[in-house]
Amino acid sequence: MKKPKIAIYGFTGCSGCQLEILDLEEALLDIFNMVEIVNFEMVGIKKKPLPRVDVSFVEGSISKEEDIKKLREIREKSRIVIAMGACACFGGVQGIRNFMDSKEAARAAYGIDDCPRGSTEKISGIDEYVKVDYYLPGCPIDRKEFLQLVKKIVLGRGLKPQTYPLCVECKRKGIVCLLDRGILCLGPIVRAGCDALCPSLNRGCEGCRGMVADANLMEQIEIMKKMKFSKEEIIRKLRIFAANQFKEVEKYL
Amino acid sequence: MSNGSIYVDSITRVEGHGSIEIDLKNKNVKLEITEGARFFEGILKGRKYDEVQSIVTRICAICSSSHALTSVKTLENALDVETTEQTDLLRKLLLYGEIIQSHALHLYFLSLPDFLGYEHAIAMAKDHLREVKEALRIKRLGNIIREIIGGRTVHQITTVVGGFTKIPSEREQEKILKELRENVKIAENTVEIFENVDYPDLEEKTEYISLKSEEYPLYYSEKIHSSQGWEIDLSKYKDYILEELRPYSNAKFGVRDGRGYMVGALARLNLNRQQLNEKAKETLENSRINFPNHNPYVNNYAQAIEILHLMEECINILENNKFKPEKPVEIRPKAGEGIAAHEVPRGTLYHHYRLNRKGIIEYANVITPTAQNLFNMENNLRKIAHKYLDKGCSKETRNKMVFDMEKCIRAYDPCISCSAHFLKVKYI
Repeated sequence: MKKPKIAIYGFTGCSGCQLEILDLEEALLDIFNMVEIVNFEMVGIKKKPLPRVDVSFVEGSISKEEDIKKLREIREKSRIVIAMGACACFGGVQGIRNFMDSKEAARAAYGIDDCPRGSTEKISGIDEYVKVDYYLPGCPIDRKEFLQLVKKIVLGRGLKPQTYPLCVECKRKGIVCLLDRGILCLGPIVRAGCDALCPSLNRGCEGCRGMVADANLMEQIEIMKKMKFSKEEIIRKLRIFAANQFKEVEKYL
Repeated sequence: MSNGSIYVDSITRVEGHGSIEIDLKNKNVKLEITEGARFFEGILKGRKYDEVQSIVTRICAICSSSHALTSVKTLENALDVETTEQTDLLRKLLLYGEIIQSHALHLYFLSLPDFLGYEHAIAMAKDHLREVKEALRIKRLGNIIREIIGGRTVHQITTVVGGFTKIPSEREQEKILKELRENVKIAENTVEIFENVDYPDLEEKTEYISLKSEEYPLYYSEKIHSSQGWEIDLSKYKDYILEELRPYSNAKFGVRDGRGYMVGALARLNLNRQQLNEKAKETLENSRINFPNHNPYVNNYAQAIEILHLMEECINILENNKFKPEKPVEIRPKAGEGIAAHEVPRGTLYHHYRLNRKGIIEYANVITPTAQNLFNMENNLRKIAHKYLDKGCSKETRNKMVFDMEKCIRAYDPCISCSAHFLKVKYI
């Protein structure tokens, strides 16, 4: 069997998803045997012009005009494109800027009224510009989920997204509901798949895996409101990793 | 290549996006930080103290614990929160684990291929499988510590204002200790490898700055000192550590009196090597590399020594303490201002916030180690350009020059994501 060709690219972000791949450690050497990695700049594997590949994993959000061009070329040269991590899926933490006065944000960060030259007006995930075949959400991605996806790709299969909320995983692990303990948690409306990691460490879910399909948003917001969380508090929680996507929820507030 | 200049687009094997522009005629070099802007100081405004940790960890994945710990300490200083001794020890362990992981990643994956003549670590693994496997083990050790104490290898979860949301179980504490003991030998091998690689000749005297503490400073301290002999309180950091704007770069350049300075492992060893643990100190004294040392490439060796020091330090902490379940200290929001600094993998990291009476951030400032090193990195590149271009400009010379430049940048272990997130930009 011919080894699938894989490329890993990074746009604006913290490189945490690429680091998660490196953190596979021993399994990393196996991956390099299973597939041919033709681009992975953080490791020093770089091809120019961009290579034609079976799969591109794209990390980071799009925040510069010149990135759009590169992203489109990646799409054109890849059979499958995977948005890797909250930044590529939804815009990530830097997407918070979309909900601020842009001059105020620039002044606080740069001391001037304008964004750096070449910045896009909005910070977004990659599907704002290209078609995405699979989303591998999370901040960072779960390296086990990445490994699973790579294995499925080698076998010529795809990955089905989790269609149930995080609460299911919490219940399965026997974690006492954080909302019941008075801790704000987005679990009921967030896509599962992390095995309820934050709740298992006594932290409320902040939604880094984005919204679950068919969530009963109205009911969940009502519950949160009844539990004396203010509108401002809930909005701030919704605007961390996937502010663009959770905007829909805000209308129920 | 055009107009007598070389443009090295996107330097590989570093974290983030940066480029080098070399003007062949004037022998001038510009280091451009091209990473996209992320406005962290802007997006922190309006955030409550308990939301900050989740945001600042995302400044950088390699040093997410460093940002988490510096940020919670800054908030605790602003809110007058006293944490327990156990919290302090666990935080130290977490930070040390992060430094071990970060140094190992840098030394073996980003830097060593340069010295052994490979394009990247994967190619290197074909001929040096033992070294690569050892590297993976030591990196894993750092990650086990980050995962057990922080809840995850990248972007820690348990580190909150007031303490930890979960304390490692006895079994987990024993697991860390076991891993540490098993990896001491690899740490010694690492020192040996980086003592014996061939560092290019580059003598560049500069000022070295680090925190000053009663122990080798790799944690929180309220004193800063310099190789120029001055020592100040952390509260005065802004009077000493300035940042300069460069129109071509998306990052501020750290500057003192119009000159560059260096932070990080080499700076720390130059200033504080007497405080190293016995084994690391003895190794350093018997080394063929002399200290103080002014060759930036030797930062690699300094990192290897720090791994050895930290392994011993972590073993000491775990052998002498048993951690018990404990909840974070309760917080009462109030108005206040806080500054904190830690020595983190690449140097001194400063966070500074002002909160209103509801505990919401009104002002935030973050100075990262990489931003502080950029001035010197660019200076070193100019020196390398002169060294080669004075001898003519053949294709071979140019290739060697660019190779030495990339190697020099990598020796600093720059974290470009960190540096670019706090840039000030001036347009020309």
